Amino acid sequence: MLLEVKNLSVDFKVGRQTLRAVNNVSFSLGERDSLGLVGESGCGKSTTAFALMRLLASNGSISEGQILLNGVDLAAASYDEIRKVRWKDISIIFQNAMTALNPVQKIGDQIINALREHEDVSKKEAIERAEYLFERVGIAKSRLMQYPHEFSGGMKQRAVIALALICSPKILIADEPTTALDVVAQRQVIELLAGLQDEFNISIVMISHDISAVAEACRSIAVMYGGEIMEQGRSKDVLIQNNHPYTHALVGSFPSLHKPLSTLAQIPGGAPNLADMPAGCPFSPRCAYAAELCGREKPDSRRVRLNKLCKCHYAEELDFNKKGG
Amino acid sequence: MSNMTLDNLSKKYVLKAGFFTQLSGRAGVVSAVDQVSFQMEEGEIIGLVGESGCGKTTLGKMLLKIEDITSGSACIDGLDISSVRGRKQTVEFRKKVQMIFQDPYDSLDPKMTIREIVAEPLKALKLCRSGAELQERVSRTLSLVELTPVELYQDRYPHQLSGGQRQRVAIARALVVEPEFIIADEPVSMLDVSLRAGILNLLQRMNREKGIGVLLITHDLATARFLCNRIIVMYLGKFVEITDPTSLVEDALHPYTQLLISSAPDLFTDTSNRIKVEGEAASAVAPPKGCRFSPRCPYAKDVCREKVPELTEYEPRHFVACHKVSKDFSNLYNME
Repeated sequence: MLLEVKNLSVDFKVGRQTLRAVNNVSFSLGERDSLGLVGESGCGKSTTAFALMRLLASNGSISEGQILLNGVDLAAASYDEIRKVRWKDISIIFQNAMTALNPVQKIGDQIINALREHEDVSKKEAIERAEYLFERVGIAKSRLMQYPHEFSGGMKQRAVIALALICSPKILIADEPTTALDVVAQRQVIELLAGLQDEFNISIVMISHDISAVAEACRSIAVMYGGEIMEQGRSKDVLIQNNHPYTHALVGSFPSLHKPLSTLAQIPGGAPNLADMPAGCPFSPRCAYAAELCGREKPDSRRVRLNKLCKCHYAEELDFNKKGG
Repeated sequence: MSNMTLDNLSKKYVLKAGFFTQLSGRAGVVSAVDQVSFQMEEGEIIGLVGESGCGKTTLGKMLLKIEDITSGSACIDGLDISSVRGRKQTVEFRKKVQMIFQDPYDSLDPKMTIREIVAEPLKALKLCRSGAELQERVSRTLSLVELTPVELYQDRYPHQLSGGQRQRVAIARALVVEPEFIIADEPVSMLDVSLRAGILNLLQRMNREKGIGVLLITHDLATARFLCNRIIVMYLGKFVEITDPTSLVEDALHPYTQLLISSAPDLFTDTSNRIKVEGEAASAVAPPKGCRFSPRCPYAKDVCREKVPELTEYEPRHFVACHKVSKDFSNLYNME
């Protein structure tokens, strides 16, 4: 395993309270693997990704668990050690490429600076590598030394991908890489990521609320709710043959181009409040199938059909496909 | 009940240039919306779909009189928008047409309570004679958008509400003057998936129960398909295809519509044999000659690069602007 996350928990101190944004999350990532983290805003998917690179805000900390990168625990690593890992081993594409680039510096300079910070290369060689990556992501290399405002949204996103790949990392974290883009540009970025994965031998962790985009880009998927992973497995197994009521509700609220038209199902209630979480299953207040047990006792994550992991007391009994839903 | 007619409606922006360049008429012109015509029937929900920068929001703004019309005309209920002048007429116009903005986090004043936000249009348009009537209409509208019990919500501030509830407040603010026509610019794109369905269902209910006409501006085809009676596909300021949702998904005729549908990620379909996509949308500053989609179109012939295709009715109620499908040009197209 390239990356193994074991029982990771992240806490934030807010005033006198300690809020648990990520709760006991485990997943692993092999070489040339891809994992999608999906869920609504506030479910902890971005926090999980930031924790992998130790980029949490100053009031946040990893309170439990391990992040093993080739057997080395990043959760316990020192600042200097983690600096070496960032960009060389794990790099990130931040949400909203429109603002991720420095507007007053040429894009080429931003890429070259990142490379020369981590590797001892001449400026000439750095430019050559940046030009190669630019062409690889589909931008003419003559545009390397332009400013971000001269680029369209899709091009900025591709430039940010080139920036993330300049030190040839093993793992690429993509935080909502397609959310700000149009359908066509979105598809181009997904296809690009898949192509780069083969060429540069990288593993991808993609974070998005767009389940259909993740289903397309990632081999496996983890559905998060209230800081916990509710269901995990191969993408199509999780999204089409749901076992968890939350996954089922999430997929049902998504309008599709090809599904038969019917009224869309809204999930009642709002996102969970981290300061006031239910004692039992975090989804129980909004769950249509919740029983008395769900409000009282937290379900454990366990294996269900199709080799999926699911966190629901009734995962075996609830078969959404049988009911025609 | 209301209808809307667009007749050769255009919007041009003159780019920033020096004084003399502007004087000599050589300054760059962006034609954001270029001679679009459309007839909307009573009580319809129309979807306006396209990439960012295609002019869909500009069109919405023109219909609201936020942007001036450069040429052509737009009529709502027989009232020509460009003839609306002066305070009295504007008030009358605002009573008919209202807007829902994209971002419920930005479009509500954080220092006003929900009651004040929803009452503001009534006060501004002087629609209520007494405080009691004002309160009555605010309560009625808030319960209409399902922010109930009203007493619980009306004295709160926007930051105390979730994203979905805020968008409901924004919808209540548009509905409180009892408009005949609502322009909704990406009303759900900032919301979580689980909340989107609630807002879309609400818009649908308003349309069915009150007959309010809706123009839904969105880049998401699936949302438009769910909500709309007819969908307009826009590309670089031009309408390229107008039809109903089913025929749009099943037999789209314009190559751009086909590309959009093929590109949309979908859980339930095989996406392995997609239409190949080349390049990016051209700039509206110097749009390509002829068909504006021709540089990216896999079927483009010489005629497409020379002559602008007209929007023609290919089948009943199915309009396309493409030389490839137009009857008059099919011979010419095949000859080359």
